Amino acid sequence: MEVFVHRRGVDVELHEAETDLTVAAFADAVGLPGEDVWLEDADAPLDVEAGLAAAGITERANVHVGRCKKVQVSVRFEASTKDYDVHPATTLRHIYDKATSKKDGFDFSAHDKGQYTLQVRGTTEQPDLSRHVGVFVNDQCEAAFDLVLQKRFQGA
Amino acid sequence: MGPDERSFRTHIDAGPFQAGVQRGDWHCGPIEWPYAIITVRAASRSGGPEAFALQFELDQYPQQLPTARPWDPKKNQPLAPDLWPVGEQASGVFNPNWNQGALYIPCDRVAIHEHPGWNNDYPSYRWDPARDITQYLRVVRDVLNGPGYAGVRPQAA
Repeated sequence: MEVFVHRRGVDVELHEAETDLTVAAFADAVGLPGEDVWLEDADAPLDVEAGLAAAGITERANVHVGRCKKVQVSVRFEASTKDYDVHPATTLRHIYDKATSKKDGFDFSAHDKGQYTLQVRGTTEQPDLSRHVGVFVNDQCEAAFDLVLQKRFQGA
Repeated sequence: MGPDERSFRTHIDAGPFQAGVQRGDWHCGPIEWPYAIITVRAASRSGGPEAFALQFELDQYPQQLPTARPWDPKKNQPLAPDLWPVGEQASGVFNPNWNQGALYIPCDRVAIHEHPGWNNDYPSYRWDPARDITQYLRVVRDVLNGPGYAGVRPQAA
């Protein structure tokens, strides 16, 4: 089967894997032996002894492979910051929805929500919101983003 | 096959492009180098299509930026301007009055040639030859799925 792998520091990769591989062997095969494997948006890592299919990994599933059990996420908007504790396979879409919500975030209107995106703090990178937050962690399992307006292209 | 076509074909088989295929964001059609047709999903709008096809010109990819124009795959010719996407940012990006052969975005070869200042003004959208065609496709997908996208111009009966 083919599996999309999200891991720290690189864009999503498409890996071939035998369905009878164990989760631990899969992590080894993608070059991250001993690290946890998570289904997208899951709140616990997969059993390392389970086979891929038995663990719930289906054809072209998105999984995260990494060592962080939790990620401390900081989202800044203008002069304010919100912090969230999430699991590493949490999508940036989930973070964005939380950070723009009334309950947990900066209370964006529906219109504003369509105008902004997440930018990795200290960079100009605006990753696709389908990516996993664990891709963007530092050595302390922290990730930081800014909410920025998507630009309209004009002028010279 | 030249190195540019080989790089492109490698990229469309790789994770970032295939993840977009899996999400239904885009898919690649015929490749007749240096041209490739890639179709990008659009939000549902009254009278609007489910997706827009683009004809990419990709010679010297990825060192040289791509350029693209809306394409009519049934007629195998450029899409008539009255069928181009409209609405807020869409009308700026898909602007036949500016150029019917390119999109008005910083990662388009023709647009950046006319607007070299964009490399400083819009660094998040600057073409990076170390990455792949999805950096262009993401901009198009976001425009076609943003709240300002309004479909196509009302067609005369």
